[in-house]
Order: sequence, then C-alpha cells, then structure tokens
Amino acid sequence: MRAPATTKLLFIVPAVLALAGTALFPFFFSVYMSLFNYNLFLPIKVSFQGMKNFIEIFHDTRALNSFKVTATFVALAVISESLLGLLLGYLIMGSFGNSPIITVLLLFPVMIPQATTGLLWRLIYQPLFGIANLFLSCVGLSPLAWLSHPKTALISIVIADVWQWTPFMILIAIAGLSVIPTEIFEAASIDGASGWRRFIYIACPLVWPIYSIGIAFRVIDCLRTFNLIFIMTKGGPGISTETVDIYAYLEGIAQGGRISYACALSLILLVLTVIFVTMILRKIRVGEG
Amino acid sequence: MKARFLGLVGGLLVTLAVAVPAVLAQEKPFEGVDLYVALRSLPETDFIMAHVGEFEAATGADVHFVLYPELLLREKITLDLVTGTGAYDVIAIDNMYIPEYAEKRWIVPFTIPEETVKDLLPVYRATNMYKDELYALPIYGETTQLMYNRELFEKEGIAPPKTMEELEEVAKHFTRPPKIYGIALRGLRGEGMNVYIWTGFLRAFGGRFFTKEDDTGFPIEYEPAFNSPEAIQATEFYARLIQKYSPPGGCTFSWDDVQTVFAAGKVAMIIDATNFLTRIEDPAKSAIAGKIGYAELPAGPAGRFPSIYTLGFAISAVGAKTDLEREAAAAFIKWATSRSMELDKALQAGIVSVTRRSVFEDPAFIAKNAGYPGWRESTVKGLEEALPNYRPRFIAWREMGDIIGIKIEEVFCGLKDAKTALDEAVAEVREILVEAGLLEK
Repeated sequence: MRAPATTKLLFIVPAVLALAGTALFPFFFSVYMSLFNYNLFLPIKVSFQGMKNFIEIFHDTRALNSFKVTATFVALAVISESLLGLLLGYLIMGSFGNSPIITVLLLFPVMIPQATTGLLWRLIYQPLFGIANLFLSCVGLSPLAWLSHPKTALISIVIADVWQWTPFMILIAIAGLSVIPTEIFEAASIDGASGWRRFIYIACPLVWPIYSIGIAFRVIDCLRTFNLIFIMTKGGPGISTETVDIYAYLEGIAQGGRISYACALSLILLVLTVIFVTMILRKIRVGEG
Repeated sequence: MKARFLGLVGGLLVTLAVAVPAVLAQEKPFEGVDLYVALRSLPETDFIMAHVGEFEAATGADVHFVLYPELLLREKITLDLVTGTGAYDVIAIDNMYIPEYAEKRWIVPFTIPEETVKDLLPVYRATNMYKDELYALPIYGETTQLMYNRELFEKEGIAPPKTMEELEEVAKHFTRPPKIYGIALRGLRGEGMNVYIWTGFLRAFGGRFFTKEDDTGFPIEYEPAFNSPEAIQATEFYARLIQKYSPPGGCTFSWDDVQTVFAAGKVAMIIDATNFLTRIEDPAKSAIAGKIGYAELPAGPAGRFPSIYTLGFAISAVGAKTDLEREAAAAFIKWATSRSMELDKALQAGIVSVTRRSVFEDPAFIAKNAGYPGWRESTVKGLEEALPNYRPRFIAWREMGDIIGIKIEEVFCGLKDAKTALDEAVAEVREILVEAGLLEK
C-alpha cells in the first residue's frame, strides 16, 4: 500500500523546517543585514544602504587582498592534498591493500582540532627551537623565519594544512581504488603497462567520481579555514595571510563592529564557493557520463 | 493624645526601619538568586571558582560559571549583549572594552566603599571607569617592566639600561647569534599584542595617538597624531631593536614567543608584562629561574610610560535585570576582588597580578616574592606611573588599534618604512573616526 501524498508531506515537513531554521533563515537574515549599516559598537544611525557595502568591498584593498589570499590558500592546499593523496593512496593500496590499521592511522591527524594543529606547527616553525629549522640546518640550508615573512608565511600554513588533510584524501583514494576490479590492473600488466601508466590511465580516471567529492569537501573546508591561520599568524605579517573569513571576523565582531559589512563580505565568499563547488560537481557528472 | 499616638507610631517605625534590615542582613540576602558568570580560565579565576562555596554559603546565591576560551569569550559576551539574550549576570571584561559597553548601556555602574578606593592602586580604578562611573573591578592586572638575565648582566658587569639609548647599546652588546640575542619584543599584530608594548615607546619618544590628550592620555580632540616625527622615530627604534638585536622571526613574536625565548636563556632582556614572573621563575619551565632581574622601563626623551591592562568583572545590564540580581552581582564582584581573596590568591596560589596596595605591602607577600629582585618595586612604580588611558579607552579604539597593529608589524618585518606605514594607518583610522562621528571629514 502506498502512503497518501499528505502523509509523505507530513514526514518531510520537520526536516524542511529544521533546514529553514538553521540554514535558510540565517542566510536571508545576513542578506538583509548586508543592505544596512549596522554597527555593534559605534553609535551610528541605522539606515538602508542598498548595494553600498558590496560596492565598497571592491574599493577596499584589504578586502581584495583577503580574497586573493583565500584563493591562493585554497588553490595551493587543495591541489597539493589531492595530488599527494591520490599518489600515496595508490602506493599504499599497492603495498598493503585496504587495511583497517592503515585507516585508523590515517585518521589521526584528521581528528586533531585545527587549533591544536596551529599551535603544534607554530612550535615546529619556531625559528630558534623549532624542528623545521633544525631540519634545514641538517641538510645544509640556512634557517628561515617561516611565519614572519610574507613570502613564506602562507606557504608555511599550507604545509600545515597539507600535513593534516592529505591523510583524509588518501582515505578517499583508497576507498575509490578498492572498488576498481583487480582484473583491469592485471589485464593492463599482461599488456605490458608499467606501474606509472596503470596509475595515470586506469586508476586516475576510475577513481575520479569518488575522489572529486573529496576534493569538493576540501575546497569548501579550505575556504573557511579560520583557526589554523588565526593561531599561526593572526593574518600577518601585515595582511599577507588574512583570508576573507579572518577579515570578516575582525571587521564584524572582534575589532570593528561593522557587522553589515562583514555580512556582505561573507556573502560574496558564499556565492564564490557555490559557483566553484558547482563547477567541481559538474565535472563529476561529466566523469560519470 | 494625638501627638503621643503619632510619636508612638513614629518611634515604632524608626525601630522597624533600624531592626528589619538588621534581621534581613543576618539571613541570606540573595537566597534563590542564580548568578551566571561568563569568564575564561586563568590561575586567578580558577582560584575564585574553587572558593565560590564561601560566597554561596554567606549570601545564599547560586553561582554558575560559564567558561570559554579567550577568543570565544569576547565573541560570546558581545553576541549575548547585542542580541539581548542576557545569559550572563556577571561578565569578564577587558578594561579596553568598557567605553563601548558603557556607551551601549550593556553594563551597569556600581560603587565601592571608600576603603576599597583607598586600597586599590588608583590606576586600577581609573582604567575601569568611564565618564566618572566605575564599571568593573579587576581580577587580573598588570603593567610593563624590563626583565633581564641578571646572571649574564652581572658576569659581564653590565647595568640594566635606564634610557632608550642604553637599551639599544645593551641589546647590541649581548647580540651574539645564534647563541644569544639582545632583546625580544612583541611584533605580532593586534591592539592587545604589538600595539600594547609599542605604545610605551611611542609615548616615551614624545609621540601621542591624538593631537590633544588630557593628562590621563584620553583624547580631547580626535585628530590622529601617531604619524608625527616622534612617532616615526619611536617606530623606527622599535623596528631596529627587533631587526638587529632580536632572534629570527622576532617581527611576529606574540607575548608567548617573547616569554619562551627569554625563559630559554636565548635573549638578554625583554620588555613585557609584570605577570611573566609566574612562568619565567618556574624552574620546571624556565632555564633562568632565580637568575632574573626586574627594573622599571628605560626612559625615552619624554619619560617612562608603563602600560596598564586589566581583566575585570562587570555587571551585565542585559543579564542582571532586577535590582536584586544587580545587587547580588555587585556583591559577588566585591567578594571576588576583595583584599582577603587577593591575598589568599597571592599566598596560596602564587598569583602576582595584584591590584591592592595593602597586598603589595603585606609582609607575607613581600617575603614570598623576595627572591625576585626588583620585581615588586618596579611593578608598584610602574602602576603608579601608568596612564589610565595608556591606550586611549574610547569607543573606536579596538578597530583603530587593530589597524595600527597591522601597519607597525609591516614596519617590523621590513615590508614598509615607518613613515609610509603610519601615514597609511592615520588615513584609515581617520575614516573610522569620521564614521563614528568623532571627527569631521
């Protein structure tokens, strides 16, 4: 017996209400806020501003810089994590197969809170006692002031993020690789394909549909990386590692009280995220087709 | 007859008026009152929390502590007040936040007895006041001082620097990389980070934040002046200390980094918070425990300008709505910041963020801290000299301070010269001041 439409609807309503309350309402409220000039601290008369906040963003060098920093961070982190994850996943799969011990080990860095990772890497990069410079001196290189130079600060944060999240991508790669029938690889070896060729021409395309979901997750996550960067550099030196999230947080809540402007900043980031993730998910469908 | 009757009634009323409060006072005045206190974990607050049973037993109030990490605390409290939720009756608050919160009427002023006024070091009261009313009492307070590796100084016959010129000479003398460096100072951006220490240099060189300030440092006119020749000179001096005599990476050091390199014996001296004592004199955490000297700040051409910072308890107007709740909150704050509490904290838990003269002068306190030469004297001296508006306590400070923090960090890291950076900072700060209605365009 099939349930009547009204019963189905009744079952859906709570989920829709919960979603509306937790996701849609805050979203529309921040759209509304972004059209005014609310300030948490300063005694400013609240008035309708239209698109003024959005226009201001395009003239605010600090805001434009924050978008650039965010884009660079996401690109460097996601590309490194994806490439390393796939390659290491393939190598681990070849040597150990899909072993539960490996899975547990790989989950360790992922389980560490970002704030802890930030503190840990701040110590690693400590110019005098940190092991990063010890390592450099062992291979005969001169020590670096990792987080204190605008050229190295963002890369140093990317390295910390890669350390933490590559294992996650390895897990996704292993999951994807373990569903590929082994006969395909055997057939390829009989035909004389080398390990490298089997990786490029068989593993990569077949693992892509699953792997790209992992990439989409990483993109979304990297776009909102906050704790890691805030703890390691606070956005400095100067504004060289200040992402959109950090700028919006400082401008809206922590230092200034310009909550409407911060909403506008976040909304632009949200729109860009949606466009970007949709593009990646489109690619998946193409892959599937 | 009528007069006698009236007299009788009057007498009865007088008796009642005197007797009733006396009876009530014996009972528990805040029976059934729930007090919610938002705070962060510090040795100071841990001690208060561990002893709150005494307050509850004496007053009947039920105290509940809501703990947040440092960053989250500010965010949670601000959001609670902005949205009018009112989840907390008492909030832990930086002295720098009081003007904004008081202007918004988010916190309630209260009074303290004359004996407390006399006992508190004046700067601690002044820096928690706004427009002549007291809004918070400190549970933690500090100023800045010079800390130096006494063993090293004595071995080489060097005296701790008394002027800025000597500071640079001594820093230069001890800089022998990579074994040891002359000095470490905060470089990391933030109004409570690099700006907190840099302000002492700015003022010592004769610079100011605004063209006209009163003698506490509070702006009379809001025209920014921190790109004056004196300010540029101070910033260049600070940057030079970091770039030439500080360990690598010094331009982004937080207070924690400064403490770490000093405690490891890697730098000869630092200028930072008086409360550093707790960690740098702990043999388990410091290689130079027992070998440290403390002195007043070196003086610049305009004098010495030690800092002031407090974390205090204030009454939330949004949370404590009724008079009874506000009285209970005020009673809790007075208990948590009382003389006996402060002395117990100091003697039992080794806490040195002392705010009262009587505790600084208590023989037991003096004896307990006798092993740290110069610490008590230079701390008290610093607190006597500190301007209540060392960093100007006005509504737009935090945004202004944050911008300055970014710009001076750029100077320290060699990305910009001091004049360019400070000019840029002044331009940005002007915009904020105009927006806040403090300055004409």
